[in-house]
Amino acid sequence: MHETILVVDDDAEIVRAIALLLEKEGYRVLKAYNGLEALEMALDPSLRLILMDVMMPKLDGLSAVLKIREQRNLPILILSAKSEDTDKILGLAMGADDYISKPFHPQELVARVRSHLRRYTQLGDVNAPSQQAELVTGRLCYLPDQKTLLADGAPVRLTATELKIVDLLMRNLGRVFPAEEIYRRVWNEEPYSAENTVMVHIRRIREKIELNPKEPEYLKVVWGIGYKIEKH
Amino acid sequence: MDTKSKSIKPALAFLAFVVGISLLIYSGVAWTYLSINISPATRASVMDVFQSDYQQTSTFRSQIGGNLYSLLNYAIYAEDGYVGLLNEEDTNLLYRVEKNGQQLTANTEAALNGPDTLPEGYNFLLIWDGTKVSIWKDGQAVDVYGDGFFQGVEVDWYVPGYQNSATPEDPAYADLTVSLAAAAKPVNLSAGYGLYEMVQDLAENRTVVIWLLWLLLVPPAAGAALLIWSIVWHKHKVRADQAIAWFTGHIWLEVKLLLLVPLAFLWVLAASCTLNLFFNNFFGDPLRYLTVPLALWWSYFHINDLRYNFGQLHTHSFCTACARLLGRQEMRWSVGARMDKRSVLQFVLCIPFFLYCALQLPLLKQYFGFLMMVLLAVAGVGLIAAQVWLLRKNRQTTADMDKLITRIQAVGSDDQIPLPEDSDLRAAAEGLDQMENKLKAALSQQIKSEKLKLELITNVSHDLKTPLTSIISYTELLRQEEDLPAHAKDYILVLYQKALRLQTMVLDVFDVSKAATGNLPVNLRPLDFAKLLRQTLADLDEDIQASGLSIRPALPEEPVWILADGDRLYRVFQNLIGNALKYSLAGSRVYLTLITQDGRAEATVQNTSRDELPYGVDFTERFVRGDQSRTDGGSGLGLSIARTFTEACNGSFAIRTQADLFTASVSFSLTDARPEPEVEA
Repeated sequence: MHETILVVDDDAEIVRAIALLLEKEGYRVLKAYNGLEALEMALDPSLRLILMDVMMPKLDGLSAVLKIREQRNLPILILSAKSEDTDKILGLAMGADDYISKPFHPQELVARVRSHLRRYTQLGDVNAPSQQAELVTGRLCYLPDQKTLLADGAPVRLTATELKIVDLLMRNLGRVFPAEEIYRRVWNEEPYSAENTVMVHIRRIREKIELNPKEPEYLKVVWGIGYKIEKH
Repeated sequence: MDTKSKSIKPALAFLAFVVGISLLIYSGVAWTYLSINISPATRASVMDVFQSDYQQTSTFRSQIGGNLYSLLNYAIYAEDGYVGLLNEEDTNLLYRVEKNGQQLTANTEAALNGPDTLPEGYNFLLIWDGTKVSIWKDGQAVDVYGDGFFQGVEVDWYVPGYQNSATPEDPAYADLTVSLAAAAKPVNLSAGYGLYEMVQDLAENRTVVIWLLWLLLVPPAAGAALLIWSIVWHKHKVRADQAIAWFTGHIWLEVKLLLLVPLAFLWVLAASCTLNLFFNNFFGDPLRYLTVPLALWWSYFHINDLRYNFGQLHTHSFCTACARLLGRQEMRWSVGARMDKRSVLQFVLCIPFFLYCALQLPLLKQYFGFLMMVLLAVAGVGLIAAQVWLLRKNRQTTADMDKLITRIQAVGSDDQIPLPEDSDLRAAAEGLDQMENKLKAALSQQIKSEKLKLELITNVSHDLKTPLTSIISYTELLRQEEDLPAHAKDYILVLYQKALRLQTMVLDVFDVSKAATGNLPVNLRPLDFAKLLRQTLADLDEDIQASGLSIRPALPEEPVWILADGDRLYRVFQNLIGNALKYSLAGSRVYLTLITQDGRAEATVQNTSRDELPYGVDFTERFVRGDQSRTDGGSGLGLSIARTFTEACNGSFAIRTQADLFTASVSFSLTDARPEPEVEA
């Protein structure tokens, strides 16, 4: 692999820790400790991905993202100790591709980096117009004709029931389905203990498609209403 | 039962009530009238029509008596040209008249001097032998005279020979013998009016009487049936009454009072025609009797109205409507304009009195009157001038009052219109200024401290999370080291677990602080409380299975809609059920119930504590736990988070402990809002 990743954070220990974690996975890591350094290093043509802290001296992360975006089209992941929704929205609006709040789980960080690189290098631009038969939301891509779900371009192994649930939810991205309706449509039976049955399958699907199954990004519970796959 | 029949039932019950009562009253009046006023003759002829044998009827008795008198009179007055002779062609009635044994006239050859001499087909024989009448019917002699006194054609035979004779008896009757025989079944001879025609008339009368009886019997029966029906449907009739009362409730009280005048006239008319009927036996125009039900039901509407609308009678009157209209009109004006208009009205209302005084003046005695006129004119002009001056003066004050009210409404904004120095309301305006300044100061102080709090939270959050990130990352790196001795790996595992616990605690602390300072964003949406609880149970299923406890949910099947933030409320129950799983007595049961009552939905989590619960501890205080050792995995913030999150969603949270029973309850008011329906792609 040997893809190059730039890690930017004013806390040198964090930079070192992330670098170690990523190098173990076989990536080459560049380090920067403020926004200005990051701008310089971002010019490196071999660079494939940037991990950027927000609160930094000299030039803060969000401004740096804005500047880098003018020149480079590569995945930028924001690292921040702020976990407010507004901060996330702001970061994504500035041109970042993902947002990881501190303290993060090291394995989740690595998984996210891998996911973004895969999509960037193997699938090309995420924003490129997709084929008609594909249903795409963020990392997930569903091919209704082949009944195949791809996560980061790799097919996900699903059981028949799980596939039916995914089929229903992916075809209706963003729509909330009550457990009873999912039960009726997938099992073709009158619902019995629908909530528990559906939840068990939802949990299993999450383990297969989500980077952090405890904090799902795609397959979500809308409490008091039902379940949906989020549109990204 | 469909709604249509529901809506028609009260109308039917009421109609049955009205028609039933009306019919009963009419029949009652008719029966009373008939029983008082019917003559014995009419009664007898009514009774006649029900006799199967026409010879038993009073009509026959008077007819045959009449025939006897005709023959007697013929025998006496034949020479004088008496023409009352019977029709000899009518052989339904045979006769023979003899004077001193000499036959005068007869329409039969038969001797007719005893029941044995009756020809075939005749069963009735009457013989006048000069002193009395003997009658044989079907060979049996009939008791003609009874006690010997004539009572009337209804009961007795209309014949001579009574001690009080029916008609003045001619002594010449004594020379005569008259025999009359009547056919058992008269046949049609087309010979003028005879017995056959009499029988036909009786039959005709029977039809008429039967019809009359139907008319007298059916209405009361129908009326009674309808009344019983309306009593059975009393519930519906009450609803009809209420509907009518609702309708009459909208009529002005003045109109109702005016309507009482024609009602009184109606009652007088109804009473007069009824009394006339009973006491003067005067029937008159049938239309006049319409006043009786009209008066009755008109009164019924009034009484019904009084019964249901008594309390609100005055609110639906012309006067209150006018007052309300005036009040509404006044609301559009400012307070100043209202006061101005009221004082003008006050002034205008005095003018009629002044005019009245002025008109009275010319009537006074001349000199004195002139003097008075001048004096009064001067006083009047002076009064008017004074009134106008006062009005103008007050107008200034009322205008200032409007300005002051505008200022009060605009407290907090900067543009303020100052009042003039000499205004009556200057002091009030100054007081308002002071109040406003203090309020502004307090407000800015509050905003400043809120900002500070939020900044503090954000900063502390950043400062704690950054080192924590390093700790977790390096522990993870250590965990990946493979060449470490076993005991070192053990230490690292402890480090790793404690780091994760620290992370949960830090996140919890910020959630609670944010909620406590009102900075927790909540997204209130209509959601099904019961479903949320089922989902939470399903979500925590693995933990529940692992705990060895059993959960006893009692959740309604139908949706329970509340307004809340689903993610926050999930955290609340995740914490409550998590706590219950953590601190319950092994093998015991945890009860999760949801009940709706009085427009609120209350969910309770009940469990039996493993450890003794301390007495008098507020469990929702931060870092408070049932046991004091603080060695288990919790942050001590679970209940605190549950409470603050519930309250952030406008719900209420309560903890109750009784012996070892621990009860947490979360309640929300029900909502009419529903999630927007989604369309399938």
